[in-house]
Amino acid sequence: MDEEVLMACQECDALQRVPWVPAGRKVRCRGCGTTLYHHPRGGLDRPIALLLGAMVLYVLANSFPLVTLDIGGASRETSLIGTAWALYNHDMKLLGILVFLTSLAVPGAILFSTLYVLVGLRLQRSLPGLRQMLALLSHIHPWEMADVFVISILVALVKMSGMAEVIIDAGLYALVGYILLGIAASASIDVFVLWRRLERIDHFSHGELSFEAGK
Amino acid sequence: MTVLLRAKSLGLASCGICRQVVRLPLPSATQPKCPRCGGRVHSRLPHSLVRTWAFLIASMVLYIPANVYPVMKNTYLGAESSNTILSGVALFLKEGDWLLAFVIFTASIVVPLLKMVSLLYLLMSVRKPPVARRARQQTVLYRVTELVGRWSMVDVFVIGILTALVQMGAISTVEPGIGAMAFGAVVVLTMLAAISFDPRLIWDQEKQ
Repeated sequence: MDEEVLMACQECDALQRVPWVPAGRKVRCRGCGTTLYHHPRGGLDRPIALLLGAMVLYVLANSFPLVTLDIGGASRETSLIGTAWALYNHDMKLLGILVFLTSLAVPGAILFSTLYVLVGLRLQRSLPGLRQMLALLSHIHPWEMADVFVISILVALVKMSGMAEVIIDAGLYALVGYILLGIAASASIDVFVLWRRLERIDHFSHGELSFEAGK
Repeated sequence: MTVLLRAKSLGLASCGICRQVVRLPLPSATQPKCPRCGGRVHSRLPHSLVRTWAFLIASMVLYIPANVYPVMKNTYLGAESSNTILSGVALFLKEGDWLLAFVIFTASIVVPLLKMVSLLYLLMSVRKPPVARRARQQTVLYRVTELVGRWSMVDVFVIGILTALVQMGAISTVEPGIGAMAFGAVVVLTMLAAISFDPRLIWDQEKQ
């Protein structure tokens, strides 16, 4: 596939024709050096596999407590939702909602909508809402903070370790695994490349040509 | 090396969602929609500077209560103590937890301040003609500012986790303080300020 694409850099607006590079390579802006797009290896199958794993771990991370604290026989545990709920209940409603959104809801929304988009593209169907979800994904990412949350748990645990016994529960291991898989998955996804795939599916589904899988 | 033209000078714009390059209609025509993804296409984010200023000023105002009021109240065996962000860092230092002091100091004090200062700098310098290399550095500065902002949430999460865990009745309890609320707002507002800023403006005053 040796076509060219017309792109304008999102950071400096430099207009340029760039080559459509093979998988594993990225294209940088000739003006400011920002990555214009990268063509990930592994096609759609790799991010789908990684995100399916992440999905299982996300469910587990939300089904079990993350940590348990034991002070002189009195023990308490917490989860992702428990943390948001605690703030909500201690007269910090907005803060509780913010924590709920950034540590739980947005990560989940990104996970499930990305999977939906990838599976739709893999099946070469414009599933309902696929376009809207792909559009949403280009804006929602900064609000995903599950990784920041894990660092916060570690900080809280070290802080408590002096005066209490700290037990790390299954949920935290699942949460760390979910984050690692999520990082690997987003390294194998480029939104621009996904839009081009979608465009081709729309094009071919109008019946002009048959389309081979995996291209 | 070939001279690069800005898309705007040719009446073109890149879709913010799918990157499709779209021809913009003449001024005052209806807002163009992207033929590929259906999103609205802007040559530059609408009211970028005004919005960035507004979010930035709001975050600076709230930064004061975020640092003055306690973010956390702690009782331990009947003794009550409340901490602001800064006194929390000092407490870590006193207890010899250098790493924690460093993490909290970086996430809660250095990152928000750096974000505010760098956005302020970008907002003020964006009207001047860019020397090419400085525009490049400013673009990198913007990218870093946008990227690190979310890490300021560490303190908010820590307060939430401690509030959830440390509810041991007479032995020890933790309550969030009003400063935490203000600090959460600072994090959100500085992130909104960074998102509202259009880095393409850095390159706009260039001599053609």
